[in-house]
Amino acid sequence: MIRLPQRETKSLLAIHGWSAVCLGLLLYVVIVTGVACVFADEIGDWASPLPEAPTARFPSGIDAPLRTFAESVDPSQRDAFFAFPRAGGRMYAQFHHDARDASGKMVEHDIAVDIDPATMQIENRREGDDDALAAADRTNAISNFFINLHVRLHVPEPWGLLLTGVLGLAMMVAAVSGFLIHRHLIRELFTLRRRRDLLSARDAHVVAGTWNLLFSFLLAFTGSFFSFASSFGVPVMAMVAFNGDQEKALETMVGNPPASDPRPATLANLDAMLADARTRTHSEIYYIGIEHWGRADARVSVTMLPPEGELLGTTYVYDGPSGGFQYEKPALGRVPSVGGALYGLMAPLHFGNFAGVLSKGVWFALGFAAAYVALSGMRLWTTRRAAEPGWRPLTRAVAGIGHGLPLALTAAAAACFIAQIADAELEPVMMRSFLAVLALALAACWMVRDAERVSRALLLLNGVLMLALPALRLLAGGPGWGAMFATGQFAVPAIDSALIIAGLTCLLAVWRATAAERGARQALRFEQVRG
Amino acid sequence: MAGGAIWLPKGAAQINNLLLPVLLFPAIWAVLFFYASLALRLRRAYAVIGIICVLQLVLIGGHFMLR
Repeated sequence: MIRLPQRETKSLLAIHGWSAVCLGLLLYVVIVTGVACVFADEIGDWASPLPEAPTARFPSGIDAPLRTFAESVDPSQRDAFFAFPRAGGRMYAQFHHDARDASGKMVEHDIAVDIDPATMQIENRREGDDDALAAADRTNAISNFFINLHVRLHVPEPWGLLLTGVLGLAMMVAAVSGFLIHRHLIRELFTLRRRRDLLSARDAHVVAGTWNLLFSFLLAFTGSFFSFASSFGVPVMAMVAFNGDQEKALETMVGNPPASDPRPATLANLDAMLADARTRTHSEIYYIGIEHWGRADARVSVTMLPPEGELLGTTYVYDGPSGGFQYEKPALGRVPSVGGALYGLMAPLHFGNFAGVLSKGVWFALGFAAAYVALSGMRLWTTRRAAEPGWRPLTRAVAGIGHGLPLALTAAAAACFIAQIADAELEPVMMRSFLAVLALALAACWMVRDAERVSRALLLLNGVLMLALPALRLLAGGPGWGAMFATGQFAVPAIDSALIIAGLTCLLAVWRATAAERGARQALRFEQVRG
Repeated sequence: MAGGAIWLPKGAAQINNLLLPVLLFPAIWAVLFFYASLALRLRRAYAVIGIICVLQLVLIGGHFMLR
């Protein structure tokens, strides 16, 4: 039991409520998209599976297509390279190069391709900055769209990251203040009065929030770290410790500073280095990074997935021209450190991917509960102020975004498949569909007096669209369940099934809510007749 | 946060002074936020947070001047 003086409790209640009122809707967008992003890899596999499942994350023979790709890139643009599998097991390979434009402003120029692990064919070459690459991505478009919305709300860098960083801080404030204002923490974990009024709505918010307190704090903390680290933290530390040289700051943190030797030198066989890395640990390769491909100072970093039962993986570093093993290092720094270990924990704790699908399922469920807490909190706040005209716009916005956002996300996924059928650009079509559906949902809540009825209509539409998604995937040329079971690619039937179950659940919820409303109306009429 | 790069020990990997302030930034901000929000005497809260900020600025300024 937490006992705070009345004044502090009042202050904390005000902080809890106002942090939600000011930033709650945007925070709800970040949480809901974060819930979807827990399964971003699986969504990529579901939306663009290959006919054959790859034999390994980095199949033998990957050296040849990567070398062909590197030879097609100007040597001056091969500063940094990385590759990892995604979207059905396709190898995503990218060169990154920073240069100054005519005005002296630093701009990035990236070149990316996908490599089919079965045929080793190079596909979908695209060039430009991060946004240009994402817009031209046809194999991972749905995941990219959700991730971009979650990470920076599709707002250009660094403002999007700063915004989501502030939202993370707001979530942390709501979690901490929510914890401190509980008078009876243990009792409130189990208090749920079965009445259809404000009190039981408050109970549901408190119960979900209480069970979710630690998780919300964890997500808020790690999320605001990820947002602020690159947009604010590293630039500030570079300013203080390295006279603003961010590259030098990053080199020091990674602990892999290359001794400059720009003489040309052929990179040794990558397959041999990957095979060597596999013999050193009992886990698979996570991704590879290469600095200065084609130069005498080239260095290959092979980062491994954490071994079973552990949270942190390791990195093996090889000399580029000779292919000889040089040293093993943690993710950051040359030797283990407190800072490096804490940094290593941030990703598994935020993404929930430390125990495969099981931990992802738990993170998905807890994230879903966090979204419910955010939405129910805003609904409680606006319901209590329903009589005050000044709060009506927020009441309608909460109703519109509450059910409109999930519908808009489903519509964006559906638009992706329709754009594939029409051979149109995917990202712009998804964005327009998302914004149009969200705007229509908000407009409907604004114009129709009964917001509850609009919410039900939005839920009904979402259910129907979810049921339609597997069919749209098939119409867009996606494979059927038989082929996927035969090749052991279970993401397709699993996500199709999840969509069908979620769609039917939406329809059932609408049917039950409509029946309950009809029952209440009949009971009222019966009372009037009796009276 | 920025002052941490100067006064925090670097550790064996020479990166703790750079990483820990960035890693702990959300927690540092939250502690200062709740302290300021719940302080009984607002002037004292202003003074405490102001002194912490000035100390960091002096450290950073001194670091640049001695370089």
